[in-house]
Amino acid sequence: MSTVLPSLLRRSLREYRRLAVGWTAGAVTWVLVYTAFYPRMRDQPEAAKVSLETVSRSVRDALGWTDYSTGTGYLQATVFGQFLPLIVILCAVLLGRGAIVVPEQSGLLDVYLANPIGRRRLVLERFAAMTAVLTLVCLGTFTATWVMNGVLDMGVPTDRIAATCLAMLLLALVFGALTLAVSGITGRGALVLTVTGATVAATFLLDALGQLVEGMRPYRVLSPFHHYLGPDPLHTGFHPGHLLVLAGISAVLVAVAAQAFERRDVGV
Amino acid sequence: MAAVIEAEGLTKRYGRHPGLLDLDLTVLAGEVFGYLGPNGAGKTTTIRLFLDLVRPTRGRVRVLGAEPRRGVGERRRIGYLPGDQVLTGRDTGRDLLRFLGDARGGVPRDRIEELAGRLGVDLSRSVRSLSRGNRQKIGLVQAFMHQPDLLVLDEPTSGLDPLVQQEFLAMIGEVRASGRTVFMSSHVLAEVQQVADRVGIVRDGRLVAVDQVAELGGRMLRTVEIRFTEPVPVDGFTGLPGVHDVLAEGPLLRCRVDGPLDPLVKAAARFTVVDLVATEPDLEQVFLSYYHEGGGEHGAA
Repeated sequence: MSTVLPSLLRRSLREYRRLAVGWTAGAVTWVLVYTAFYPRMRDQPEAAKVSLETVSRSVRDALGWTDYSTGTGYLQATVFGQFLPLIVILCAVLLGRGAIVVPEQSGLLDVYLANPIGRRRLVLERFAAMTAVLTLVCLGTFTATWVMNGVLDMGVPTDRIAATCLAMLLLALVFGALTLAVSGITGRGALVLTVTGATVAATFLLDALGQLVEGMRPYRVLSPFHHYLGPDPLHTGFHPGHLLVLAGISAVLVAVAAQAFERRDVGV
Repeated sequence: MAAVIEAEGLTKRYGRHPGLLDLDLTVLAGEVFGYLGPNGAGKTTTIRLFLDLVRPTRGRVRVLGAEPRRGVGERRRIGYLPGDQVLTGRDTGRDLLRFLGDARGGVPRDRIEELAGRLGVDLSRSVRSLSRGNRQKIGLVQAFMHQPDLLVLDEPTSGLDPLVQQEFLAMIGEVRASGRTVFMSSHVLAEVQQVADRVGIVRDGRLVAVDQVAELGGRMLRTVEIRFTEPVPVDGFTGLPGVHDVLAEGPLLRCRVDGPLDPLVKAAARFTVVDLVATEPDLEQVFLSYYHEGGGEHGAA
């Protein structure tokens, strides 16, 4: 292994290993806890309906809550609809911060960059490490969902679960790459969090409002969240076009990060 | 001899704050260069310019023949110790050092262990649990371990106890003996005095003087006491070139001399001299004489 992977990538994976294990365990727990309640919903479709109807229809649509009593509907509402992707995004943002601004503020980045490690290479290897960690988290999510789907007989085809997990991974990478891009432009840690957090919130709202408000609908495509659950992968499987859009945004943001970081002063 | 560091008009401004102004400096191969100045004078800025951590506002610098920005590959030939205790993290010192060694193309593990043993630091503990002094030792190990052609050390002895400081000075001596180059900053003059061939003194972002350590001692301030057989007139000594603060108490004359002693000796020779004591100044006094506004002037009578 030591000869295959570049030193900084290996180092980054070491730095992130606790975080990777922690967030994967968290995601798996989330899936297990929520799916454990599925049999109750399935066996009491009336109760499920009532609890669903306490929320207005348009909001339900916006949140992607269709039907609690089918496996697909339940997974959509509880696992993939809201909190889990936001949690995975949070993980991506933390990894993005840990890549540049956190070690920059402690001064450790000085030590890294005083080595024959170029700035662009640092950004790329940090992004590679981030991708590895998020892949692990999403793989954990997939595995837990797939197992519970089988155990509880939820009836969701495996490829649909895989398609949704892949879309979630690419969604999280967009915001991880955004964190890198902002960190590439400025070394101010608070600003990085503010800009990234505001973008997550704004694009999430844009997607949600796009479903509620007719006039906002055309702008949904601007939100990465639209390319995640918009094509409804849990029901319809892989949508390469949307996945490519997400991957493309990440690629552009990583390129911006590398170019900007190459130009600026470090630790000022 | 080849220039290892060449700076011309090197300037770095942070907004309106001048970090470093118009630095012209050449450091030659095999030299130990001491870079002296109080905190905030611009020492760290200079060093960070050499390492391409910050980019010059204007001017040029070449380190090991390359502009720092284009010299990513040259950095394996540089050993850098950052200024303020930046090494941190959960990992053990050993893991951190191996990573840095690998990043520079590989460092024999024996060498890491040997250096750590020499400075007396435990590599099996996590870096962040180490004391300030021990973290500084890890920093020194990583700077020296790949036997770089150029060592750039920012306040290398800060936090080290006196015994380890001596060991560090011995390590610098070995580097010089092997023909390699050291650029070290400090605000502690004694340590620079012991190891440096030349010193530069920086103040408010400007390099105000560069000199051989020996020459600084020769050229600068001296306190001279002369005992005569009988009282001497003060008038015979005031106004001599470079002679200040003349004080006569009976047969004893005290003064401070800036530069050659010759005028004073010639003047003293007119009387019968019993004893003459010239105290060589330490760099600290020299440094202070530069550091006080109007560098080099000493309240002449």
